[in-house]
Amino acid sequence: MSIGRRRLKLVGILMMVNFLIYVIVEVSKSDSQDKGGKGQVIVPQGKFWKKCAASNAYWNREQQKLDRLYNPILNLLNNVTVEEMVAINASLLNSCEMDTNIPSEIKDFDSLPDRFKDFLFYLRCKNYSLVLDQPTKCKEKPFLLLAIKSLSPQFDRRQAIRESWGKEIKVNNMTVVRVFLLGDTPTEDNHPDLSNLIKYESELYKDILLWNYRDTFFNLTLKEVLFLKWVSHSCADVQFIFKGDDDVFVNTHQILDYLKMLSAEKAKDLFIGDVIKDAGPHRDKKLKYYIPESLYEGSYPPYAGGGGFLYSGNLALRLYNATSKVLLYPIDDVYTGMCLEKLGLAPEKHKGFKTFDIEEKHRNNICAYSDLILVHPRKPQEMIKIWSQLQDSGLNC
Amino acid sequence: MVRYRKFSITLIALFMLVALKIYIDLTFTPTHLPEAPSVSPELYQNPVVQLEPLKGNEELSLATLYNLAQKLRKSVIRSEAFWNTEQLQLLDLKRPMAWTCSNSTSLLQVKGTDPYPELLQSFLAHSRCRNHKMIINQPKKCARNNTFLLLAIKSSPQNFAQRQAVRDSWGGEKNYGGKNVKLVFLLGTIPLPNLSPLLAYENNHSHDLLQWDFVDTFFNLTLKDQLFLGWANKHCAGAKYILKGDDDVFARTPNIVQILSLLDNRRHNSLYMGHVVKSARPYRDTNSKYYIPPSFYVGFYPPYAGGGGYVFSGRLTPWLYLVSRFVVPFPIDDVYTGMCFMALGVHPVGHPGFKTFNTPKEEKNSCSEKQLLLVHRKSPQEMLKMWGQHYEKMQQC
Repeated sequence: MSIGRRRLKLVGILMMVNFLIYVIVEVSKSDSQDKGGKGQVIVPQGKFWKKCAASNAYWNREQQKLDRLYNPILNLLNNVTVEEMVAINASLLNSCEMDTNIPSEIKDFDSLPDRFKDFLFYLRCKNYSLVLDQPTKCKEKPFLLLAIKSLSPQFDRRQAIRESWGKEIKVNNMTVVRVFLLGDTPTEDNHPDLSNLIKYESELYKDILLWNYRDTFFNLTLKEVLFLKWVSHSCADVQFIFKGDDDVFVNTHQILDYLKMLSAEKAKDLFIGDVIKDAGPHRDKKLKYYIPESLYEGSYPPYAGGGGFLYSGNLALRLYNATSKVLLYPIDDVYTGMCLEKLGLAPEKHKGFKTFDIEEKHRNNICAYSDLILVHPRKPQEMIKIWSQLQDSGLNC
Repeated sequence: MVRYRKFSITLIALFMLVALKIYIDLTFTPTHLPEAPSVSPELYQNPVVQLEPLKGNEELSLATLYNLAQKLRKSVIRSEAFWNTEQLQLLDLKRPMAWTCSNSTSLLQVKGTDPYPELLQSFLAHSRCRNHKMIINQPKKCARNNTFLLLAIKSSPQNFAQRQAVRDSWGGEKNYGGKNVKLVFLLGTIPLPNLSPLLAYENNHSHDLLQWDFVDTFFNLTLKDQLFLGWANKHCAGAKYILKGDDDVFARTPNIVQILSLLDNRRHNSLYMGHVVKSARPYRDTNSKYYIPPSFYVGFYPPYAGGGGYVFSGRLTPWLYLVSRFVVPFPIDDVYTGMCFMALGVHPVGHPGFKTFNTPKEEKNSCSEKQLLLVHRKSPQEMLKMWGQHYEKMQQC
């Protein structure tokens, strides 16, 4: 009897608990339904946009001004078009005069290394001319253009590229052409005068583009902009472009195979390489890539490492357009990433680009190279060796 | 009060001492090496000084040289080591070896030791061969027989920039106070890539390349040395002095010419001057560029002048060239040169102005550099900059 009563009591308690839970759930549910049911929109108390506060870093600040200038809506409010705004400010935007205001714009300007001062004094100047040109390079509408960043004294690297992966070939109606991108090494900067030798080299191999800007590390960005300009003027019909350094090995046949398989849709916006994401400026003064806080703040957009990347000719034309909307940045591959971002695009990572080399144990195994696109770094002799081994018809990988 | 005065006197005395120390440090020229260029009693005993200049009669000269070379016996340790054994055997032979490529018998290493590093093996495989063909020659370099100082600069085919910097700075063919300076670059070949069109162009404009048909490697510098001696013997026997150096050194040619022109007759005939290394031993660290296995060479190196740059009397050229036939090739070129000079009984003289090992730090506004004659490890740009400042500095100090 007592067991039966106890059981009954337990069942009763359980039922009451269940009921309580039901009530709680029901109440809370109806409460939330009540709010939504009335269809009220949440009206923010303050403004939902933020007025762009002037940045502390010079580059960001100037870029904001540039963005403002190219903003069609804001210009509309002032009854001007972007074109008019650009035309009004043209002399300012492309000034090649030394910018004497710079020292007052950047608080620690005097303590910056000289390479920054040089870069900043002529930040807006992109108006350099070609000393050595190859105007007929693309008259046959090449499939692939190899554009290799080089420096005047690197004769052996250029020659090794000519004799290996940079050969101007034609495979199944796909023509490959090659140019080397050089700047000036003036004798005022104590460079040895190699101009006659370079001129001779250019006559001999017809593959040198040389502009009259100083060929420094920071000016690699100028090399990029001027190359894109050259493409839009002298090589606008090229289908694809590979741009890279002169100390890399490139498996050109692998690139051609890859491009052949590409869908037309993907080909249009193609930009692949060894993509670096979520990177930001280095703050260690000893590094080659050091950028002071007073120059740039924030992170970098995704970008493909400058050792080498592959993109479509169509995109090159759009990139050139974007270069006028992005202030020159001292690190060239980051700058290209910024221009891509302006176009609403991002580079895509391809595992065939080994800008940090392959594992040491595989370096002497030729099969390790057969399905790669790029390996960095390689010496001139190594480039020729790897290339000739890859051409061997008996190669069995 | 007295206490205070005592204290201040002590303080002043201390200051005086410090000031005196600084003054002494600044004014006294450091004498790094025991031998000053002015006095060297050993030189007076040099047998070569008593020898007539070599003329035609090679038989007689060889007999003399054979006797001279016997001096090496004392310094070569009797040992199982390859070089030591070969050298002692060579001294036992009455006739010197022919040293032509045809009799390049395969040289086997000492039994029961680890195989030699690849570089040393390839050196040994070709070391008996000294009759390499010339690809580029300058037979008329010293045609007018008025060369005071011949600069013979070791370079490699790809070093276009280094050569141009040397030409445009301290290596220019000039007349310094009536003394003619001539320039040649010593080159081997690189198998790949093919730089010969560019080298030919360079030579057509500068007429200062000497190129032989052997692969330009570090160990082949000894071969380069021997081939150069052969060339100088044939084409530039009249040069009063020869400066042999690397293409990455900076030299104050006018100062060197001045010092050389003030030498007395005795030293004029048997000079071997540079940064002298005494009692050096082979590097036994396998990772070193200069590594020599114990099974190859045992003992100290003879006193020698660092290969970055040293000067010797042109009169010694034929003697050196012939005596080298009694000296077994050694893979490190400046050590080998030291051995050859030792065989002749000519001792190196140190000069504090030659800095081929420790590169002094560049000091601004200081005249301590004034006595500097030659420094190592300079980029083409640094070379041209230093040359630009040379005359300025000479005037200031």
